[in-house]
Amino acid sequence: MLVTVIIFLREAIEAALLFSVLLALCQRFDVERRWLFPTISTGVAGACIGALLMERITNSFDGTGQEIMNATFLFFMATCAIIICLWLSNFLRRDKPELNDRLSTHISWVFILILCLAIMHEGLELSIYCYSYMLGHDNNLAFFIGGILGLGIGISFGAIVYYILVNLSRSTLMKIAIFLLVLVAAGMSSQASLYLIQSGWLPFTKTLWDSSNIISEQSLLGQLLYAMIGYEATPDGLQVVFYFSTIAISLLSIFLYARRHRI
Amino acid sequence: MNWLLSITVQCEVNCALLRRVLFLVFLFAQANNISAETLIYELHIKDHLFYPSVLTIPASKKIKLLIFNDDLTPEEFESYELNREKVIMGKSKGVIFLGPLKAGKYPFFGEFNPETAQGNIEVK
Repeated sequence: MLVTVIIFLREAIEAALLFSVLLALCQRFDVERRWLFPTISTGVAGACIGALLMERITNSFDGTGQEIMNATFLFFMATCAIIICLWLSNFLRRDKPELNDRLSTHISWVFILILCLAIMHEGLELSIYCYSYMLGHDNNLAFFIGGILGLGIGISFGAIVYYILVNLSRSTLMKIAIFLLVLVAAGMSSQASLYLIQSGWLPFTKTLWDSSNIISEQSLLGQLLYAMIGYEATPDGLQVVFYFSTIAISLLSIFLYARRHRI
Repeated sequence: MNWLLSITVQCEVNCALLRRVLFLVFLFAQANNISAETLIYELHIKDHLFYPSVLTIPASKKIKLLIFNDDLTPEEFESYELNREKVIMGKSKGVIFLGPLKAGKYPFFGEFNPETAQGNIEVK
């Protein structure tokens, strides 16, 4: 049962963090939220369909289809996170900007896309795990309890973060959200590069450092840091390059965007 | 892949960006180029156990690891030390590229059955 709790918690915590930040932004920056439940259901349905097609996906691209799909998802999500940062940077200079440019009127589509992809990405592994468990075990009660516990802890964590964030002032929330989203985007792109290395599409350079003695990736803190800032105990050189280039690209585009939209 | 390199080198167009893009394409192609230097190893999953549970591979060589799942149930090959994770469906196989690695011991496990599915990759 403990295994089930850990697997569910690990996947839930990543999605929950993204959800809590984005929903807090919706709440405080007046973005409509009617899309929330359709988005979650689409994501769950997508994860189930993906799980059914997993064998075919894996075998495509000379057996590296799974990595290519994961990397594509992660790059898309990172792009969405950066776009949300751009939109947020509207509020950097003025408290009440005239939000009638195309980005602001369509921003909820970016929210929908990133959250839908997040659920699909995390849900895919969970649904395959569920299928695997059901096929191999008889004791399904322990499994259900474990799953609910794991999801419950993940969602509670998200709820706590959400309530902390919505009670902040708009300018603080905006700064924290930009900070978190840039790091989340950097973590996603470093993770995507790792998938490309695993598939042989990108070369393996060398492991830059080993901090697993200080913070293990398997520990709760390690998992949390992984979800928040893309922490990796033994990162590959190329991963670090992707991580910092994503940060540089996001900061540069925020700067350029803010300059173009200066009154 | 040499033609790509020659384009990159002889590129008369004085455009740094184009050259950089071509170089990246070359790197991609190079990484994708499974030449004779890539050694192929096999790993089997049966009854939620890995066979062999200790896989010895040479250091500083690129490895193509084929993982066959002989069970009906899906399994996830995972290793924090190797930074690898991949779902392998039942009665199916998966491919993972490793290395070149430094000598040492790299544990891996099956995430869906971590109590039994455990193993090590020993790089010598």
